[in-house]
Order: sequence, then C-alpha cells, then structure tokens
Amino acid sequence: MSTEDKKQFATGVEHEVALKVYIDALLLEPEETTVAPEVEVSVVKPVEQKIATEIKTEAPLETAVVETAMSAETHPTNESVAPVSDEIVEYLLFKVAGFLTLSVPLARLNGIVKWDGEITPIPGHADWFLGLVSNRGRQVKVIDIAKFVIPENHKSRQAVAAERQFKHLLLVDGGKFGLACDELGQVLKLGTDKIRWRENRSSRPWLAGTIIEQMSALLDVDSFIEMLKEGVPLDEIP
Amino acid sequence: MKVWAIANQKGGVGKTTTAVSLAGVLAQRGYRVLMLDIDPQGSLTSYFRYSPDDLESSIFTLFQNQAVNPYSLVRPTRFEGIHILPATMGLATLDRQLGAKSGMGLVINRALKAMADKYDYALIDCPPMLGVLMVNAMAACDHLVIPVQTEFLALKGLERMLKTLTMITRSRSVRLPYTIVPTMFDRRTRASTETLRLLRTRYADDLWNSVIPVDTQFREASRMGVPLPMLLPQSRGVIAYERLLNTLLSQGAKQPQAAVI
Repeated sequence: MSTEDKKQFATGVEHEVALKVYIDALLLEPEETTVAPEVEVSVVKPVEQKIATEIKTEAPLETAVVETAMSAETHPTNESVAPVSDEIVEYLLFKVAGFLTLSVPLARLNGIVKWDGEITPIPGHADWFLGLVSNRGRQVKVIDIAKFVIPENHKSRQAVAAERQFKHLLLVDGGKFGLACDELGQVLKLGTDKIRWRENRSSRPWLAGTIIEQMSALLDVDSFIEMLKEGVPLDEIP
Repeated sequence: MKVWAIANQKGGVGKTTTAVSLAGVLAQRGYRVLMLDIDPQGSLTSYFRYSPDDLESSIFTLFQNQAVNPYSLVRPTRFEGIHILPATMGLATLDRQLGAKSGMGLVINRALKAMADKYDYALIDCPPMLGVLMVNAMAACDHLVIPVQTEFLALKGLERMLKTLTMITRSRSVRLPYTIVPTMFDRRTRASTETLRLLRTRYADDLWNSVIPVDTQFREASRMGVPLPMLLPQSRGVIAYERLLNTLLSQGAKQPQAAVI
C-alpha cells in the first residue's frame, strides 16, 4: 500500500468512525423514558381557553353548559342528547377573528382551499356575507363566520371588525359556501361522549354543542347552511 | 401502522413524487395514511398547499418540545385518507441546534408510536442529506424505499445512501429492508437503459423488478397540488406506482383497519 493509499484509507476510517459516533449518539435510548407524548399540550390551547370565556360572556344561558362540561365527561348520560352511537368522528378545529376557535366535523367539509382574502364584494347584504370568490370556475359565497356567530349587539363584535387575516376557506354545501378562517388547528378524533350536545336548539341552532376538552363550539353544518341560505338567497346572486 | 421512509442522499430523484403517489394509491384503497415531511425544503408540505414558510407548528415543534402531542401537529389535506405532518424552514437548523444530542434520533419513532392506532401507513419524505432528520426517519421506519433516477450520476447517491443505511443498521442492530426503485425511466435514452442495466447487475437482490416511467403528468399533478392517482388514475405513472405498491405490500401485507378516515 503506498503512502497516498494509506492516507486515503486513514481518512476514510476516520470519516466512518466520526459518522458512527454521530449516529450511535443520536440513536441512544434514554435510560428512563421521560418523554410522555400522551401529555396533551395543544398548540392552539390558549385560544381555546378564550372561546370558553367568549361563550360565557356572549350568552349567560350557556355558562352553565360550559362550566358543567367537565363533570359531564364523568356522567356522559346526564342530560346529554348525544346520538346513541360509539362512532368516532373527526373534528377540525379552526380559528376565526383571531380569538374564536370553532370546530366542524371533518367529513362535512367539501374541501379546504387557501385564500388570501381577495374577493368580489356584493353590497346590500348582511355584513357577514363577504362576497364571492371563484374556485375552480365556480362562485363560492364567502361567509365571515365570526360575524355570523357573534350577536350584533355584542361587544366582542368590535374586535372582529379589526384587521382580519384570512388564510383558508372551508367549503360546505357542495362548495357553494366558503367559511373564511384565519387558521386551521388540529384534527380531533372523538367519540360522542367527548362532546356536550345542546339539548335546546331553539336559539342559535347552528351550535351543535361544545367539544368538552378543547372548549370549542361545534358547528351543526346542516343548520348552519340552512341559516346561511335564509340570509343569502341563492337566486339573488349569480 | 407500517412506516416507510422514502430516502436518497441525492436531490431530484423523485422522492416527493414517490411519497405522494404511494399515499394517493394507499388512500384510494381505503388505508389511512399519514405523510411526514422532514425535508427542510418542504416540497411535500407545499404540494398539499401548506406554506413551509409560515406554518405555526410543524415537525420542528416536536423537536423543540417532545411533550407536545404529535397528533395535534397533524393537518388534514384536501384528500380523504391523507393527513400530513408538515415541514417548516426551522428544520434546516436542527443539526446545528442539536448536534449529536443523545437520543434525538428517536423523536419521530416515538411520535409515530404514539399515533400507531390512528393510521395504517406513515410515509416519510426524507431530506437529501445525512443528518439528524435522516437518522430519525431510518430509526422509525420498517422499510426504506430508495428512488433512483435512471441516469449515471444517480448511482453515486445510491452508494452513499446504502453506506448510511449500513451504519444505521449496525447502530440499530435491526436489519432494515429496502427497495431500490428506478425512477424517471425513459427507454429511448441510453442513460436510462444503461443505468438500469447497471442497477440490475449490482443490486439485483434489492432492486424492484419494474420501473417508474417518465410521465409529464407528475409535474402537472404537482402544479395542481393533487396526487396523480386522484387526478389521472389511468396514467402510466400511476399504473407503475400501483405495481410498486403491490410489491411493497406483498413484502409486509397489511389490511386496512378502517375504510376511511
């Protein structure tokens, strides 16, 4: 072996040793498993806490519902109108108006599209109807869901009027309506017992209930669409 | 849950295309698929129309705080049965931040174990270089898919990849099965046919017995942000990935636990 060969060989071995040390260190199992991935530390949690406050301030009647929500988990049958099924359903959390976290059954969405806020406004309608956006050659009626769900005379509505940062549209009703949202959150897979279903739906029929752990208002998509259609008659808009 | 990593220490060989196409076919067959983007360039993340530049949470979050529930970082895609754990630019800083910090090669392995009952398959789209992320992928996966572009320079990348694999296998003391997948094959070019011949000579045992052909539809699907199997299920590219999937499944068959997510 020539000197040059030896040198190359040595460098090759050194290189390999360095790599081995590197990889071995990375793959070293800790003695005691201190990491507990099951600890629920949600990124959107601070926001979810706020929604609980929102629900309380906007409707004193709901306070009881939210406050007793935790105990409902231990007594799932107590006053619950949950469908009798142990089906696991996926719910998407999303943030609107910067402070409100809502949720919707994932399967009820017809799609999620990125949206930069560009829109054709249609004047003469309720302020929660933002206008039209074209998606795949189809006109989507865009709904400012925050303004829709917060009553007109409520003080938190002022905060909604501030600068908005729309990023996505959640498509519902076969893509006819797009719910403007600021941020997509996590997807939760939950059994019906993880949701506090509302018993009396005469007021705010769009609110199906509350996801207990995240304190997120759960939309009833069908009632919501029905209400939208009443507010934005389809035949008025091209 | 079965975990497949798609890796090669060379860029532009079709890793993201392979990950997306396999996920598309798996989802169409009713499997629940989680895609993990661990390439700081975030091609897979961009494919599904999330921006690696301004996502608030990503796989990076997991490395910063291992107490985070990994499932809270998963995002839906527009496609039924496909979820994504996206990448953000911060991933590029991981090696500098962590160095060879003890145990940091097992972060993804732990995260996937915590979500094992939620998905049938996890597909990891790897970065084109050896580092803490690549080590994580190889420590987490049951099978390695190595796409190799059928052109001369690609063989060098493959050699390097297999060397890395040998070292990780030694460290893990578990054999990691792998499949070399010839991609972007164009029978009209000498480079393609000659490279394929060399692959067959040198790597006969671990080489997939077919090829992924050049198909311009992959680019079109990427432009539209739709996995090609959902866009053009009859295209020759998709038919080739169907065949590849059948091979991979036959190596470790698994029935779907649920029809849809």
